[in-house]
Amino acid sequence: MRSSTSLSLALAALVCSASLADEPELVVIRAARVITVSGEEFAPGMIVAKDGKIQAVGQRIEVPEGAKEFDLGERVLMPGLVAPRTRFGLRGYTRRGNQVQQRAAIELVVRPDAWDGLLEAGVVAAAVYPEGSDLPGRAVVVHTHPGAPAERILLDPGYLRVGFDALPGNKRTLRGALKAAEQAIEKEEKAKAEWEKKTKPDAGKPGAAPERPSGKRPPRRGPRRGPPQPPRAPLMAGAAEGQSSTAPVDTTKFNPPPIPEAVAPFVDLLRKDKAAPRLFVELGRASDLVHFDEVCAEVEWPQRPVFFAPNRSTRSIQTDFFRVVERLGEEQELVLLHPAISVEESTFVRVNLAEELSRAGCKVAFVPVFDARAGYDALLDDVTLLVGEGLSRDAALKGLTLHAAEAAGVADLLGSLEVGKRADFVVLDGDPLQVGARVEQVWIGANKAWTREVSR
Amino acid sequence: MKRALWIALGLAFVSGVATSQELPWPLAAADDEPAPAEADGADAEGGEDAAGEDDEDDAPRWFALRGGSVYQAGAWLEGATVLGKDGRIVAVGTHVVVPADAEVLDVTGYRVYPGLVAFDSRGIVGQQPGDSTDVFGLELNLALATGITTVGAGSQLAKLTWGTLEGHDLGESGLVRIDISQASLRARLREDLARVEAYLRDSKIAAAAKARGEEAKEPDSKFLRGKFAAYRDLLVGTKRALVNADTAGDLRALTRLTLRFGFRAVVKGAVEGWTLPGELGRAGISVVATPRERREPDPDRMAENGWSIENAARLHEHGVEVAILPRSPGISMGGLAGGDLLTFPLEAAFAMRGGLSEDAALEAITIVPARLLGIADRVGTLEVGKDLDAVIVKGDLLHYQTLVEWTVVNGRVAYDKAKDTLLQHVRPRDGEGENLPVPLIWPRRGNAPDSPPRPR
Repeated sequence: MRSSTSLSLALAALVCSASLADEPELVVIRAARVITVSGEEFAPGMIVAKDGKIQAVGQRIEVPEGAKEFDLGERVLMPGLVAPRTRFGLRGYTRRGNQVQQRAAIELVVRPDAWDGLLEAGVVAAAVYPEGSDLPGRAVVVHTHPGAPAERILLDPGYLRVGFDALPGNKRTLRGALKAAEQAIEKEEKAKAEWEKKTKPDAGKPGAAPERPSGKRPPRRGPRRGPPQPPRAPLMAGAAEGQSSTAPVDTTKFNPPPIPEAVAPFVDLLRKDKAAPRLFVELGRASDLVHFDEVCAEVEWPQRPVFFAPNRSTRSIQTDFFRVVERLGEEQELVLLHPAISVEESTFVRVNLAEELSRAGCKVAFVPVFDARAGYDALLDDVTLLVGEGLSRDAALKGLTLHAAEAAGVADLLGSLEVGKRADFVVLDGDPLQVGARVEQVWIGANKAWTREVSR
Repeated sequence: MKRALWIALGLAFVSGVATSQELPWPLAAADDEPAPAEADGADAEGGEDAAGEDDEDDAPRWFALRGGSVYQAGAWLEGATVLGKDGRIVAVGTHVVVPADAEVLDVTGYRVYPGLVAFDSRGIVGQQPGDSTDVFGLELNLALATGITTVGAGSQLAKLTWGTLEGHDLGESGLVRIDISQASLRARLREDLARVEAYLRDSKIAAAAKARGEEAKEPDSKFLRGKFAAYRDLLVGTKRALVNADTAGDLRALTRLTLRFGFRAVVKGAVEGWTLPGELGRAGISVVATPRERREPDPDRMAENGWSIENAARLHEHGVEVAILPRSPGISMGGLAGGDLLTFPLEAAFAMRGGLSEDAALEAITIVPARLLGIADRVGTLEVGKDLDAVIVKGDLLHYQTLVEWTVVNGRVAYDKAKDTLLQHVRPRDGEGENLPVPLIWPRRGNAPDSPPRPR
């Protein structure tokens, strides 16, 4: 604590000296307890934020005069919750096959207050996923704070959703996509070799080693962030094939054969490119993971996929994911779960999957059983029950915040109270892992975004 | 090699009873050489086998069942060891040296039977086993708890691997479905078979003429597609026909067909087979029978008809290969000890009730169905070179109170009653109930006057 305090002191001093009239002002928030999630808890604690970002967190930080100060009294402050998988208030539709070029971002035509339900449950950011099975597209991570859609977006495109709960169709689609990517890479290498042969007749001689295509990716067809398109548009691989490039072809450079949009993310994945999307794999049952591993046996992940391991259905608490705990723990996977005690299929044997997984070394994050206001309202209480059944406090808090943010792909912005991250947090009337704890305020960018009208 | 031979001789001398089957492996150990090279040669004729064996690690996966009574073609090998390498049996005997790194299951006091083979099944594996089986499924679990290790499923074949897809899919079975239920269909079939027969004859004549150096015209082979290609396989003997037939009339019609065209057929059902067992035997027809399939005789008919519990026994006496399958080839939770695969060994016991010998009854649920499905080289008996699939029980497998303790598939424990939630509480192994006589601890109805109290 001492080191962080001194660091924050230094920071505060720095800020103070550089303070000018047009500089954004410092905001100081004090609370009876500050839960940072990533580090220790401060009681009492305080946060110093500037320009919506955290400048310092600690027990006692000296603050220059003129800073805007808030005292939350006996309340508890913790990072805002993150919903790593939601379609809160959005319309449903069906989408099948390989549609990886689709983005959930184009669906954000919602009322400004559409996500108030999430906000009031303490959720400050949500990863909105594209609907559909197989490969329905990329998610988008948004703020729940009312505002124009464009201002809300934190990350676009987000994870690439992989439906893997309806075999064998899902398996076929994913296998097809990976195979197409392999073929595209092969094709490019072949074209490259041919081009080298043509342009450098002495390429065959020793010493004239062919250049590696260092990080250069072939041009994609179609705009990457194009104008919104209707979600049902039949965009398949090669649909954009008819477009002709207007740019003059430079014959002195190698022009790799175009890669279809539907294949591009998987080409990146196989090349371990930085631009490769993180896969968000939605499993239906434990067996699906075995099938997924079989399809992806050859893939070396630039980023391990995120797994969603829900109960059998929203009405059933049956699960069989305890059978793959060892496998998930071995790779320290990030696993999303319903925050509920499940039962082993056809028995009354209780399973605290979250506890088992976190003990095995997995990172666990929570998705409410119901993707609606009721589900998010009960989220804290549900997780509290898991803690009562043996889940560690640390895993529970991280599952609501840091790991959820990691699953959504915004762990660099949100999920914990650390210097440099966004000053988005919730204020509760007690410890978050105490039954009945209620979110009283939500702060986004160090601004109070919502306050419960009737406080207890 | 010569040196190895000497050591082999020495070893045989020392152990006294070492059979030639056991030699390949102990040799390598005695020589302090890496075992795989020797043992690889021993089972290399296995052919395409063991997918994924090469990519993992080079160390072979040894598995041994030690100390059990091993069922070997009608005899019991007491205190024997079954040693498997990478899922295949490399030695069976009483003096088998088990490698130090082998996984050993001590089954002293238990009986070791070959894994059961269900000729047909529903719902246990997926429609496309490799791509849709739930490898942690309840049905799969219960099938393993019954002792089943291999199933036919429609036209597919699969091993009941638990939690892994390695070695799961066995591809298609070598059976051609034909329908003889109506006179018109039989006439059509006769025509089609005659056409293929004529083609085969003409092509043989043409080949002979060519061999003599004469000009010869090859018969038109364009029509050999779809069903005709299947019929060609039937007539040349690479495949067997699968026929649903129950009445004596249908069976007699089938014998005429098989004798006329010289193909082999497997009949599913054959309820009235006992009325013409000699005819079926002479026609080389095999039968998949259901001893408990009841069909009341029609009193208006002069000839013997209807069902008989002696069906399987009579057929077997007359040289008909008999496999046994319950009435419903699925796993059903409804009813009492029903006619489904949960009571698979019980169905064979009913055939014994009708006069079939115990060995024939065991064969009828192991090697005979394996032969009919065309996988007798892989499963059905505990022989060197075959897959290490075993059922381990205390007592008689065909006794209705016997519970399977372990099921081994491809040299892996796929079911362990003591670790599985479903049946672990019934006569727990190493528990207080284990050594009580069976009737004392079998759950009984509560108020029956002479029933002793149940433990626990």
